[in-house]
Amino acid sequence: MATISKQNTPLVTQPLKTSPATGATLASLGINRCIPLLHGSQGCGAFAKVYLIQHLREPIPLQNTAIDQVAAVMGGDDNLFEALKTLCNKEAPQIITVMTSGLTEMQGTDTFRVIADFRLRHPEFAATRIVNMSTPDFNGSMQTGFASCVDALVRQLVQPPSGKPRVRKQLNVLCSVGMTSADIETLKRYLEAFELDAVLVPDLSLSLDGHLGDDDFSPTSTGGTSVLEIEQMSDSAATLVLGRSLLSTATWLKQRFNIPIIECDMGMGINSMDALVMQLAKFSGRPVPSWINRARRRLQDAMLDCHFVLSNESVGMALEPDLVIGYSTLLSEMGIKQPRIVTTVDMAGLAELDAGEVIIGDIHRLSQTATSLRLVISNSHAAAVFEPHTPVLRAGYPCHDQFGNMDVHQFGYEGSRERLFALANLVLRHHHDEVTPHISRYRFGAEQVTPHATAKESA
Amino acid sequence: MKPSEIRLLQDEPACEHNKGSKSGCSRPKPGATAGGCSFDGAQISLLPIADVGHIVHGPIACAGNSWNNRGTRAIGSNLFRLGFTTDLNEQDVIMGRAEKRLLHAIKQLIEEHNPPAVFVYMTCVPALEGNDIDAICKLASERWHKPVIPVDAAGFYGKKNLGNRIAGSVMVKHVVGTAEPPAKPVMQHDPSRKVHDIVLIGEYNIAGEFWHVSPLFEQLGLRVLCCMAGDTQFHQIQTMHRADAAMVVCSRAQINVARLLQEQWGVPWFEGSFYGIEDTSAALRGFAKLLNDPKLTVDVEQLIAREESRVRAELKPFRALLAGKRALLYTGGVKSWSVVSALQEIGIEVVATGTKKSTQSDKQRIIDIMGENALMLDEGGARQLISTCRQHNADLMIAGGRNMYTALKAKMPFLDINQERHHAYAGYQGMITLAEELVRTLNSPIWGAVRSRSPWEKTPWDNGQLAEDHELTPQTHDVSA
Repeated sequence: MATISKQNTPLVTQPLKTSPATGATLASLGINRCIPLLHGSQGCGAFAKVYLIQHLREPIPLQNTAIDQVAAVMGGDDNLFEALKTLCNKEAPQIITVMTSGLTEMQGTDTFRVIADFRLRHPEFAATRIVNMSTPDFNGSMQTGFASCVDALVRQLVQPPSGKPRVRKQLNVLCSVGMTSADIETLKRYLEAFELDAVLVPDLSLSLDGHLGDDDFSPTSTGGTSVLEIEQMSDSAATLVLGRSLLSTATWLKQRFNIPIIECDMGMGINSMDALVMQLAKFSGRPVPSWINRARRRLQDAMLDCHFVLSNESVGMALEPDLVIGYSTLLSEMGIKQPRIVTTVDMAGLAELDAGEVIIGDIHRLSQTATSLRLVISNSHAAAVFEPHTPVLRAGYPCHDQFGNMDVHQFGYEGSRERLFALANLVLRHHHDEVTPHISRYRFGAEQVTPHATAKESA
Repeated sequence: MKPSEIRLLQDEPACEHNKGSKSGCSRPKPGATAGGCSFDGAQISLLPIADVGHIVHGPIACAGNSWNNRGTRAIGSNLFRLGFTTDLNEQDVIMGRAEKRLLHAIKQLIEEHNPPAVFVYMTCVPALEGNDIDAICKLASERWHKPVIPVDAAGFYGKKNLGNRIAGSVMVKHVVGTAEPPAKPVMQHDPSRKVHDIVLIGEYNIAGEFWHVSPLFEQLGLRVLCCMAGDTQFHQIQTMHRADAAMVVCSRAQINVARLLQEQWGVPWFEGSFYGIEDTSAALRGFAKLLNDPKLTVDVEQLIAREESRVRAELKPFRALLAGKRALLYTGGVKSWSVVSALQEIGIEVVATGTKKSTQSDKQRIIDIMGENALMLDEGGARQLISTCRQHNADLMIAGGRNMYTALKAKMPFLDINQERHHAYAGYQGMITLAEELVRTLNSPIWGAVRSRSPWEKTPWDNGQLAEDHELTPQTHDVSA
């Protein structure tokens, strides 16, 4: 059990969190042919865009409504209206996600009304869906913004059940902001193993997996779950939730369409995965294929190999809550102590973690304990704070000082194993000899000895 | 090396094995042997002489598989980590160019690194070819005015033990006694007395563990002329003959060095170990006894009283975690008993100990420590070790690195006690580390998970449906809910 406290200082130093709109933008990119539109000033959009570009090394088709001085005072509705019109006209995307910023929320913007108005006056753009969400930066973090986007997509797009018979069972899958495209690919392999059709919201593995497309340029996301698939989510037999941040969306689906929920946090650690595989086996009525058993045994072996360097070590964490729960579960199974965890917002599940304290605060809160930590799991900002003294395993956002962020495996028996190796390797590479060399005050150098005239080496 | 010389080395008057069957120095058994060869033994004994240029004369396997893989630590020049070898190729062997190549290798090494000395290790291929490395070394030595010393311990001469012994005798024959140490300074804590000179034989400073012990000697006014070999420099070996007392640490393989020091220079010696509180204290008392200095005896007792009470207090919390655990110990020589007493001090019961490399007196010590019914394992195959663990309900296995994965695959906690380890267990402070590492593996929460069958294997598949009564972790919702 961890104690939870909120940092209550006027000054935030080395902030861990970033804006919800950035999270909502990321989620939007997992929907096929989507344009995220940030209702705010140019800067609101530019910062989020650069942030994601640096982490993902991909172009980010984020647009904004360019609120200027006049719009700031007189209201930004016209800007939003004009932006929607321009985007529909020029790019004809499948969907536009309209996010708010602190600026436009302060104005009291009603994006829903503007969109309804736009629909009335421009029926010719009906083919482009428009989904709005509230993502002011004065409330929440990247994770909550991501979750808001997923929630808005589901609530605003899902249609009543079609009642059509299906050959394979369909499963809704809500994927946390903490999952990489490699994680989502692994997850899909598991679902396919049980012959399940899945609707993943969002599916970053189809857009942000770092592939080259045929087109020179794309004004929209380059792949992801289609609007049609989301519309048919009510036909699913269950909703699998990865990350508690998305639980409320699953609960809505349950209340609205009576779709049961399968929850497995982040699918990190052997227990979490055992439970998930059992649920999938039960749900699908299919036997567990042998490769999953093999993957589990590999994880067991990795746990054995790594425990010599990981058990009893102290690791600090500064991550968003979903990833905190994922990593903390994995670390606890290895007997890794977690004296202090820093996260962005409070969330159910944090208090149950096997950790000392959880602080809702900034990275600086973690650096106060740096000397007692063997490793830290966090982003590039934390790396700048802790390294080289304490190595940082990169996770979460932003990680702009390394390549392949979307290729990192965390989910599944495979991902857990890979993370354990990564942690253990960091320990090895930052190995310090445990004994300080002792030079006796009586020790003498080569120049102090008197060699004999007749050396024996020719003996 | 001539068979007669090998026979001479096997005849070790200071060793109990010397009479009757020589189990410690016997011929390796084809198909059922796991230890290293003579070259391995010679190399590991001498490599910790850190500023020497060690050239392995042979094709690549001998150096390629072994260079820089030991846990030994040294300050200053770390030339020994560079893995010099002549890397003989097929043409060298066929055309007989190996000797020439060796001479050039020595030249290049001296020109590039200018070490105080060069050691040349014979290996099987040039030995079979009939390379005269003695002659090459003599030539090189005259040419470059530097000790170039042949270590003729090719792998097929015998076991690792023999290699240790060859290495020791080479040092005594060629190096010891070739230089005088600086005059004895006065003791820092008692200027009325001069320091006593001591040497250690068979201490390898694994993971820097000798640095747990070396400060104790310093406090007592003992000057370590040479530790053979761990954190050692060439000139220290040269002055070993001036020691007032010697200690043979933890391995009898180089007992010949102690005997020769005594025979040739009258250096008294004793055997001991730095593993465990009692043994560390006994080692310090051993020196006090040989050095014949009443004041030193008083100092030693004071130091022992201080250190023992400090470490015992620090060990208390670990004792609470470890008491009652059962261990199987499989390691060589002196460690077969010295580690037993160390483990007993933290409340761990040793159910069996390996005695493959132990002497009669080692075995007697085991009986003294563990009682008449002490289970001794003379053979240590993987299967035997695991089944012994199972039979005796051992909680953990303590052995060398090569048995580590045997234990792990049997899902058994393990502690690495041999040369490749990364933890320093010697001296009083080392006991704390030992306890920490034992707690790390024994109390790790992984054991439940790694021994568990998957839940779908636990619940048999029945009529295409899983039985409903399987265990699930509480955090999952029931689908049918």
